Amino acid sequence: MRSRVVPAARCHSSPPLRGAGDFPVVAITGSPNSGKTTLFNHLAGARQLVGNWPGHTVERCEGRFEVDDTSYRLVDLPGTFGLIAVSADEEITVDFLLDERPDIVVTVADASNLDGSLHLVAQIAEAGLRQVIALNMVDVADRRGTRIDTDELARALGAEVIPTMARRGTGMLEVRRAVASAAGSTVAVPVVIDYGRSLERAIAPLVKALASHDGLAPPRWLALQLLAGDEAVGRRVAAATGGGRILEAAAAARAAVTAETGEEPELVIAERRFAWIRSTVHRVSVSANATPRWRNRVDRVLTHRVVGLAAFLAIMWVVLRFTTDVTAPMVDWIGAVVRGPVSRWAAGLIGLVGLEGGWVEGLVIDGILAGVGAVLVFVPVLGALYLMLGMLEDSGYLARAATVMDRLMRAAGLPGKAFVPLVIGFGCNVPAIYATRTLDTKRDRLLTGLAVPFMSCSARLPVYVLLAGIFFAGNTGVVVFSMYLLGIVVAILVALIVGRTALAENDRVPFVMVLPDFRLPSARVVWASARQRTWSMVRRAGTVILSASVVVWLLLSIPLGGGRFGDTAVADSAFGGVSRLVSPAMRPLGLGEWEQSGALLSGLIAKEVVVSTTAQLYGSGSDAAGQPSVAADSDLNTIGGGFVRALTATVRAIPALFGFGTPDPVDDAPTDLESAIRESFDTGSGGHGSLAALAFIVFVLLYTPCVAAAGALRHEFGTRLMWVSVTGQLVVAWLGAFVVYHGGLLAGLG
Amino acid sequence: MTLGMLLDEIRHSPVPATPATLAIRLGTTVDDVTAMLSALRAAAMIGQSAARPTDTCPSATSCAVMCPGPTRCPLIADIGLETLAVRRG
Repeated sequence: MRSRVVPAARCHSSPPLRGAGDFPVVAITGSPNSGKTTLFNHLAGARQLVGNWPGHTVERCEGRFEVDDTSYRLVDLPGTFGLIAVSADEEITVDFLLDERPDIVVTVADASNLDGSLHLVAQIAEAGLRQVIALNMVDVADRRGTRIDTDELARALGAEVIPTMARRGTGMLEVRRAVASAAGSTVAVPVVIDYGRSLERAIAPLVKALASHDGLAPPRWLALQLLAGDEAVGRRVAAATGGGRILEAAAAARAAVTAETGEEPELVIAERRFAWIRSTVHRVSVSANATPRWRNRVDRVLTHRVVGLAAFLAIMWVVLRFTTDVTAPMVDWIGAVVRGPVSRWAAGLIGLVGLEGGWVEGLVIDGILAGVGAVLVFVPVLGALYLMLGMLEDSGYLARAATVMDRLMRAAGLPGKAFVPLVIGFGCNVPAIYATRTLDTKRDRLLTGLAVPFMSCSARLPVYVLLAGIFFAGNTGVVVFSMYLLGIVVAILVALIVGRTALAENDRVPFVMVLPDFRLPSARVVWASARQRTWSMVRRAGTVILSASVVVWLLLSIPLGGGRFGDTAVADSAFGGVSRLVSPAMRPLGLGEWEQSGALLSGLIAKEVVVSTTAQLYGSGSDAAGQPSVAADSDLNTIGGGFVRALTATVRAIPALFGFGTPDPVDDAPTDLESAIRESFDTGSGGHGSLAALAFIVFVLLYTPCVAAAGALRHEFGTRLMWVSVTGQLVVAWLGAFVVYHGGLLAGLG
Repeated sequence: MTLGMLLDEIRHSPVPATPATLAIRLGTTVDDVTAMLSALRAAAMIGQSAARPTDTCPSATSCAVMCPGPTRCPLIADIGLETLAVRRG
């Protein structure tokens, strides 16, 4: 028997049709996360993203494979748990199975969760569809100590059962052969479950009535669906001749079952099917896979209302210390490379083409390199944050954190599920605002939408690290941790105040929170997600930050009171003029210098722009042109040697984070940029630079995240509420910064 | 312990339940509750109570040229938490 893949997979949203060759149609189905899409890719040779989101497949995808010169058309159906369609995805699957009646259904069952997977298998078998069962993730089941007798399982289900490991492509040849073999047979072996006296008595007359209609098959399954209250099947039956009478009989039978058993028929059906599955699983498998006791214990600790909260704070502390402290040598290295060799080489190149001293040099050195370079310096910080976030995601911890935060959320009048958008807000506020759609009521959505912008997104991190590094050297991690915490506290307080004063309470919808398995994070997954996220930040630097840097440079180059373009003091530029208009409002916060107001203004575009504008204003790269020429080997030493030193220091900083060993001493000598920033904050606050810097950081945390977030608020809640939210954020930011600055002065700090 | 009892417990729970809390209240194991939740889910009596964050973000309009599409947005954290609510029954 020969089999091969015909690599011609395509995805589309229209119903797949039988081709000219009228190939047998093979539908692939399974519950979400069973490995269905991976299996499809192996069978069809398709290239499709395989993720871990439940219900990831939203489009039907088709492919083809051949066995012994016979082609089979493969159709990948959205994941579903059963054949009663409630969601759009499930409807697509059920409609396809019932309308198209594929020649073979390959049902992917998760061997590590056989109990959960057999519901769909049993329902497909009851529906009289010919089935091949791909018993996937047998390796995972094996590791958990579960042994499955596939022959016995095949007998119980009336279908061939093929053990597979879709991730490795194991068992694909056998699946193809089984499909070919099943396609050669003409009858399906339906599973017949005994639903008990009461229900069987209701099923029998319905089967008889349904059997007389050619288009309605198989009758027993249809009768079950009608008794279970399946509305989609009800509509099908209603459309058939005499369907109305059948529906009346079904309604009467439902009432009779309810009266006799005291339970709704759908519950009786589910109970009996569950019992059948349990007995089948018991018969065909030997399992030692009861959840390990250690996992339950760890779960209990991490979700405990007091200990769990402490664990959450401790984990956040470690994550942020790692993010800021461990990456410090790399940040210094990139900064040195951008300010030194890169700026010098750029100035040299400009000199080579005879444009030195003009506006082109200003744009490249003072605009682009100073602005974009200042943000790129923080790539290691964000990379480390994303690495840690990936580990928390993949380990299943974030879901535990959600259950802990649920209590706090509810105390603030937010629904527990608000934690999902709020956590997404740590990455970026824009998708977080859209994620409020996942909440049940308009009140919950609005309340959470107002709270999300206070969550500290990753774009704010470079601002914290830059200023904390200058004013609170050695305590950068403490400052950053405090900002993340303050963001959560303010978000909850805002929700509490708005929820108690402006919005009426609504009924709570009861729900169950199902946590993913706790596991050791996979290095591959964590690395891939951190790389993807860090790359998105680099792309952002090459687009939004670059554009903003050019605009800020242009505004800094336009003279307000006479003078030449590109040859004006920054204080006399258009940017300086606009910033000075805002400056008086910021003076009570200790931010008396117009440059600080200007940087905050530009931060409305995106928070990283605060860093790029600060670098432009205080001229980090402007001295490149005036620098004496440096030998090439010195530049190479800055780059190569500096990298090795930074890497060594980074590696040594990791154990030091946990108190083992000491980190390499950091070069404390301030750069020109750092000195200029310190001087400006000292001057603007009358000598209280550290407190002013802290007020600045708090303002950055609490004011409008960016125009994209404001756009998302408008999109979700309308223009009026967007302005309410943006104004509220500015007021809260101003008040927060005021309290920090004056509170610090009163306490004699700074 | 029956599916009906579990369904009642979910319906009348004053706070969001987890399989662990349900197991304690019903005097059974977390694995049993998980298996029963699968049965209720397959019968469409409970189901995902809200859309997934990746289904909801039309950020192409906000994130402009950088949006790789919601399902691939690297900044959407995968919390892995599923919330199941009573759908019918």
